[in-house]
Amino acid sequence: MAVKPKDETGRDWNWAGGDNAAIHNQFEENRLSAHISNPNNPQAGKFGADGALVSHSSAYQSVLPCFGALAEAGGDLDISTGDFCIAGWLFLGYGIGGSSNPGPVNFLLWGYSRYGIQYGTRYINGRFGSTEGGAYFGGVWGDTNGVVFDTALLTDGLQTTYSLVNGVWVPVTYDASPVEGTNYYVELIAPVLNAEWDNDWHLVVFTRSGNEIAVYFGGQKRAYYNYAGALSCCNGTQNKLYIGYGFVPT
Amino acid sequence: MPMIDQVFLDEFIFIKGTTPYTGDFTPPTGPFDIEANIQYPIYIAPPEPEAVPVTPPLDISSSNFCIEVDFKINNLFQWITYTDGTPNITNQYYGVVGQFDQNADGSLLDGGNYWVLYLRVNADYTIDAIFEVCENGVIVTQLIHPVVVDWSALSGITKTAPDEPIHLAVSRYGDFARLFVDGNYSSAGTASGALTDFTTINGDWQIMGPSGQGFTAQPVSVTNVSLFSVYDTPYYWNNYTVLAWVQRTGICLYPRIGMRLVQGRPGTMRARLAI
Repeated sequence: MAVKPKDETGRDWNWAGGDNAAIHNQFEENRLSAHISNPNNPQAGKFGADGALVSHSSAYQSVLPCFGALAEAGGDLDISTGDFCIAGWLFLGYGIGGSSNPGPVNFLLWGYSRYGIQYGTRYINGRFGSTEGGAYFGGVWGDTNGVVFDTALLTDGLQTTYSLVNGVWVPVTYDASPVEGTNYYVELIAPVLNAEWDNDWHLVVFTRSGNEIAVYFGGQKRAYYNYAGALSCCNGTQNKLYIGYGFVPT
Repeated sequence: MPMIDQVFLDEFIFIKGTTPYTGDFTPPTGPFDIEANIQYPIYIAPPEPEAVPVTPPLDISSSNFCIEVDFKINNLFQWITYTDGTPNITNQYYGVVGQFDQNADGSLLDGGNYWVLYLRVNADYTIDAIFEVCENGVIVTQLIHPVVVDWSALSGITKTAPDEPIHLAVSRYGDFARLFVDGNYSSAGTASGALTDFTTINGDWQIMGPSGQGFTAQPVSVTNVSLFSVYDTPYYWNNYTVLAWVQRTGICLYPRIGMRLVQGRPGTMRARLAI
């Protein structure tokens, strides 16, 4: 991962991957900055020295995101239109209780926001978790966790996403009717079985190819959503991409 | 319910404009090889600070001079560390002002001559002010004076500086030069030394801040430059007391009513009579 790629104009870009995942920091209005590496970090990385802790309940956690980067309108991080791929390896470790049954969990992997990963200001984000008690499939609460892609749209009306549940594509309908404001949200929920919370690494991918927005877990497409419009990110002046939660060394 | 405290993210990638995944696939068995597979990878980089060019007010390569400037580093961050606890870098540089050989298109000439006044943040977060002249790839003069900043206690991973800036000055008199920090040069034996004539630098002067230190992944501070003055004499040559910059306006009664603007350090004030 040492080679710096270049973009179409020949500019050097820096990896945000490998051992340095989320190690870049953007300081803005005292809201951002974080470390991901830590001598107390107990987990070896997927392919390198260490991974970034993104779950909630560690003593090493803070509410600071690991990483923030400018994603101004029209900028390099603007994925409101066009294809994109946001991916990472996720280690689903056993909890302090040593159980492989995690119960409902919820933690953020990345998100576009004005002021950081805070629920009130996010526009689109990828997270692991569910809503209360489990994922919500077509009117039924399931106790399955999932990789969730929350999208904010610029159009309203009924929207249908699909989740792969027990090998069957289950439609999930959202009424993205306006109440106020201009952002209408849907969720793409890629179910993850409890058995897959197995103290091991899993590749998680959030991607868009043409009109299909999809979430992959372990290389398998588990949720998708056909939508031709723009996503509501980078449509302001302070939208930034944030990755995970950071933590302050103790 | 067991607590979940061991969820880690690694190998994060962000790609704009294309995606390698349009259907089920076998996860890669090694790190992403983006460069080989994707034409236009877009990754996150901190914004690169850019220097502000200034038309050279003086050729200091062979003349007496004094450069004084107030400079402020607003905060410092803890070093980002690798998993074994070792920092990924152990110092940072904040350019204050300098002059570098440039190519015809204005870009800096690799390996060119330069002089520069800058601050270096050391591994223990102490700071040194440094005036340096490099000729033909060799540093021919390097004056160093420690800088004392009354930092706040750490808040999270950053600490902030007081409002007062660091007053820096470097003077040349003949073949000698002295570097002053807050009016003092004599308390550091490395703050004075020989400065013989060097090759004239062809580039603009640059007010730099954190620019020029390259990619380090270490967050950089916001910096401020103010009261930048250049003299063609060694305006300061002995230790001096830094006086606050004063700016006042007022109306004075002379034989006729007039207005006066006074600006400068007491003892060196400049006055203009508008009427």
